[in-house]
Amino acid sequence: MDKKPLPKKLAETVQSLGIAEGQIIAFACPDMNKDCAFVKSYLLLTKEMLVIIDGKVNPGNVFVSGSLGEAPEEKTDVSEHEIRKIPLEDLDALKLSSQIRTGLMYCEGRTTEVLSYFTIARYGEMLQLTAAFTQLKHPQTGAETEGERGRRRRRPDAAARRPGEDAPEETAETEKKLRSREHLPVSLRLFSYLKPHRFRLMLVFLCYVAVAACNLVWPYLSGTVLYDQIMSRDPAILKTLHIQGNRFILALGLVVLGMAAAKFLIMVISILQNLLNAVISNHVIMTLRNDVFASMGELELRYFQNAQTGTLMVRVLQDANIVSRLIVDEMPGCIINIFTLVSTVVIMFSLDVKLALASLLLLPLTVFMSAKIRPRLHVLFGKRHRAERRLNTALNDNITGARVVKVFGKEPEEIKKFENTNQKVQDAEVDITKFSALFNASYSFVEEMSTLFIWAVGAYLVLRTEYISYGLLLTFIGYVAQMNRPIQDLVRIFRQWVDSMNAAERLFEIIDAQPQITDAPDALELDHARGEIELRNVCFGYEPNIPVFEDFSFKVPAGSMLGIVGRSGAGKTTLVNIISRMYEVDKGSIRIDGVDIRDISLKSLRKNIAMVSQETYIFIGTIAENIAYAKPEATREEIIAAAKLASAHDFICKLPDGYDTVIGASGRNLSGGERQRLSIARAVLADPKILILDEATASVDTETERAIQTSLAALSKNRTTLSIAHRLSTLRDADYLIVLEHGKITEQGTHEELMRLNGTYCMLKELQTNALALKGLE
Amino acid sequence: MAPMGGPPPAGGRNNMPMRGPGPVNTQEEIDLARLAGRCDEMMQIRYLEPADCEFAEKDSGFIQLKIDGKLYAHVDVYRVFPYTNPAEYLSVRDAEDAFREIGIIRQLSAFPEETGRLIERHLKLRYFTPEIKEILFVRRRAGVVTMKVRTEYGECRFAFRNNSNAVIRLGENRVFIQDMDENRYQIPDVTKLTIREQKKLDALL
Repeated sequence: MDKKPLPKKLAETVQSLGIAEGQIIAFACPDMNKDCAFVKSYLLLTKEMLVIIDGKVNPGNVFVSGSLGEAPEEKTDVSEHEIRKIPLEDLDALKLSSQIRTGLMYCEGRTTEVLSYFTIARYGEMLQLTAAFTQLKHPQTGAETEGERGRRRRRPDAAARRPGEDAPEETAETEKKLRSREHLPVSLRLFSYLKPHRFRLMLVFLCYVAVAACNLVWPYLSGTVLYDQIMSRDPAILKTLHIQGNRFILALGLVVLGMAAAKFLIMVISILQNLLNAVISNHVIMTLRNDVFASMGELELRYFQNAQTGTLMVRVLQDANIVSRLIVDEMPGCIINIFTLVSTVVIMFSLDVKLALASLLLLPLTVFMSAKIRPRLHVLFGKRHRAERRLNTALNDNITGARVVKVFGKEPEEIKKFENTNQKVQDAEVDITKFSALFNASYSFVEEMSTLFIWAVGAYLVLRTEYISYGLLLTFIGYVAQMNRPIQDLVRIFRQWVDSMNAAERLFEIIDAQPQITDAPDALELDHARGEIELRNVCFGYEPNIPVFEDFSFKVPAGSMLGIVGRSGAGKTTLVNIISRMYEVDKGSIRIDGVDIRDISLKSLRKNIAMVSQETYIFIGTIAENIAYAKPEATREEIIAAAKLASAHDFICKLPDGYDTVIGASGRNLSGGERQRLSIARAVLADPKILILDEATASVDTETERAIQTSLAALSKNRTTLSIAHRLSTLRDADYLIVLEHGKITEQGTHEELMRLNGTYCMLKELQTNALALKGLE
Repeated sequence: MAPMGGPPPAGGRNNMPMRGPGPVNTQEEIDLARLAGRCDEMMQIRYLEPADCEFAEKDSGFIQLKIDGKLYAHVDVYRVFPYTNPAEYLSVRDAEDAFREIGIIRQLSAFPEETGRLIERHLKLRYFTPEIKEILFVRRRAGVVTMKVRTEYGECRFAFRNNSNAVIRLGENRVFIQDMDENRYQIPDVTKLTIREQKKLDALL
C-alpha cells in the first residue's frame, strides 16, 4: 500500500498517543460528520487498534474535493479533536456502505456502529483502510481484491458519441420526380415563407438602398467635391453650401463632416439590417424545419427506410439553412448589387462618357476571372472538405470501435489506413494553397492593372483636355473600386442559387410527400376492443416484385398468446409490422375484431397495439418521461407500477438519480437489458389490448428473461399477445404456435402437437435444449 | 442458475396462472412454481402505511424498521424521484438482504414528525448536494474548471472537466455541477445569483 506521510500536526498528536509513525498500517481522512458538516477527521489503523480522530465542526472549515489535493496544512489543527481508540479484538469487520453521494464506514463486532462519514471522493482511501483491516484480521481472505477495487477508477464519463456526420448527399432522383406533384416553381414557393416578414423585408431593402446611396455619394465627395471644388477654390461650392465670403476652410470642414456622416450612417444602417436579417432568417429556418419535421412524422416507416436517415437529417438541418441564407441574406443583396452597379455606371457616364468607357473596358476581365476561375477553387475546397470528412469518420470509427480494433489486434492496419486518409487531407490542402496563391496573385494583378489603365487614360485626358479635372479622375477610381465587390457578390450569389434551389427542392420533396397510410374518411374508433386478430389472404412485399407473404391467412382468438417461430428473414417482424399497420398490405385484409384495420382510425389502432421490439429506442429525457412516453399524463404511481411489472423498478432505484436520471443521447448509458425493460414498462403503461413482443427479451440474461417473462405472462392476461422469439423457452406460455418459413406457415399447433409432429419446431427445441444443457442452464 | 430443489413458495401459486401446457418436467415445474411465488413480490409495489411502520434510529446509526411483526435492523431509504419529488415516493430497502424493497413511503409528511426528521436527516446525507449560495471564484485552465463557492455547509473548492457532462441543467434555472470526484453541487435558481456570478457561470454552460 502506498503510504503518504502524515500531516505534521497530526504526526505530533499521534506521537502523544504513544504510537510511532511506523506502526501505522493504514490511514484515511473522512471529511464529514453525520449532519453533513465538513470536518477533517482521521482514521489510523495499527496492529493493535483503530484510532478515530474526530474533527471539530468549525465554520471556517473549507471543503476541498479530493482531486484538488489536501487543504493547506495550517488548518488541520488536531489538538482539539476528539480521539477514540478501539482495540482490534472488539472489531470483527469494518464495512463501507456506499450512499449515493456519500459513504459511511461501520463496524461489526461487539457493537454494530457507524464510525465515520465521508464524501464520495474519499471512498478509495476508505476502501484501502478496510482492506488493510481485513488483511490484518483474516490474512487468508482475498483482501487484495478489495484493495484493487479501491484503486480502480470509477466509471468513466459517459461521453456522448455521435456517429460520423458522413451523410451521403445523393438523392433518389426518380423518387423526387415521382413525388414532386407541386407545380409551383420552387423559388416562388420559397417566397411564401417570407410573407409574414414583408414589412421587415421592406425595411431591410430600404437599409440596402440607404447604404448603396451613401456608398455612391462617397467617391463623389472625396473626388470631385474635395479636389475640384474645394482644393481648387471653386466659388461655386461656396454658393451651393450658402457660405458667405471666401471661407473655403469652413466648406472643407462641412464636406469632411458630410463624408464622416455618410460612413457613420452606413455603420448604423448595417447594424440594423443585420439584426433584421437575423430575426427573419431564423424564423424562416424554424418554419421550414417545423414543416419538414411535421411532415416526417406523418410519413410511414417505409419512407424512412427508403431515404437514408442520414440524408434526412442533413435535409432537415442543413437544407433549411442553405435555403434561408439565400432568400434572406443573398436575395436582397443581389438586388442591391444590381442597383449599385447600374447606378454607378449611370453616374459615371453622366460625369464623363470617355472616362466611363475607359473604366469599363477591363471590367469583363475581372468578371471572367471571378466567374470562371474562382469556381475551381471551390472544387478544391470541396475536395478538402470530403478528405477531412473521411478523416473524421476514420477517427470516429476507431474511437467508437476501439474495442473491436484491439480485440482483433488490427492497430497497425488502422494506423496505416489513417495515415493514407491523412495524406489525402494534406494533398488537398497543398492543392488549395498552390491554386489560391496563384489565383489571388493574378486576380489582384488584373485588378491593379485595370486601375492602372484608368489612371493612365485618366491622366492622359487630364493633361490633354480642359474639362477633365484631377478630382473627377479620383471620383472615377473610387467608383471602379466600388464596382469590384458587387460583381464578385453577384457571381457568388448566382452559384449559390443553384445550390439553394437543390436544397429547397429536397425540402419540398419531404413536405409534399403524401403519407400512404392515412385514415379512411369514415374511420372507426375502436373503443372496447376484444383483441381478435385475423389475417385473410394477405399479400405483402417491401418491393412489389418480391413478395414476403402470399395468400397468407390465420386467426388469433382474443386474449390468447400466439408464438411465432422462424429463422431470421422468415418474415416474423414483417408480420407484426403489417398487423400494426406500419406498412399497408398489398392484397387481402387484416381484421381486428372483424374490422379491417384500414377502417380503424390510426390513432385508436395504435392505442390498442403496443410493441416491444428488439430495437429499443430511448428518447432524450428522464427515465420517468421515457416510461410515460405513450401516456404522458400518467401519475408517478402508475409509472412506478409499470416499471415494477417490467422488473425495472429495482435497477432504476439503484441509479443515483432514480426515475429522474437523464438518459438518451448525452445522458447516462443503460445496458441492453435495462433498455429492454424500460421499453416493456413503456408498453405496460400504454395498456394495450394487443401486445406485440418482437424478441423482447433477446438482449437480457436468462434470469432477467424469466423475471420479465413472469411479468409478461401476468401482463398478457386479458390481452392478445403476439410473441416472436428465437429462444423457444421464451414461448413457453404460448397457447398456440406457428412456424414461419419463407412467408408461409409450415407448422402450427400447440407445443405438444408440434413436438409430436417432429418437424422444424421439434428440431429447434431439441437443439436449444441441448445447447442449454451443455451450458448447464436448463 | 438452476434452482435445485428450492423450497416451494409459501403462497401465491394460484395467483399466477401458467397458461399453455408446457413440457412435463419436474424440474421445470419447480422452477415455475418458485417463480410464481416470487412473482407477487416482484410485481407489486407495497405502499407503507404510517400505522404499520415503526422507524427508529439505533445506536449503530442505522435506521431500523418494524413492520408486520418483522424487524429489519438496517434499512436504507432512497428517493425514487430525487429531483422532481424529493419528499415523496421514498423506497425503503433492506440493506441486509440485497437491498430488497420493503415498500415505498408515499408521503413523508403523513408519518410522525420524528420519523420524518430521522428519514430526512438520512436522506440529506445520502443525497448530499450542497447548495451554492455564492460563487467566489472560477478558473478555466486546460479544460479543467476550478471553482470556489460558498455553500450552506461552508466554503467548497472543487474541479471538473468542462467538456464532459459535468454541468447539468434541470428545468429552466436549476443547475447541478458534478465535480471530478462525483460530488454534486446545486444552484436551485441561477437567476438568483448576482449578474457577475451569472456571467462567471455562463462561460461554463
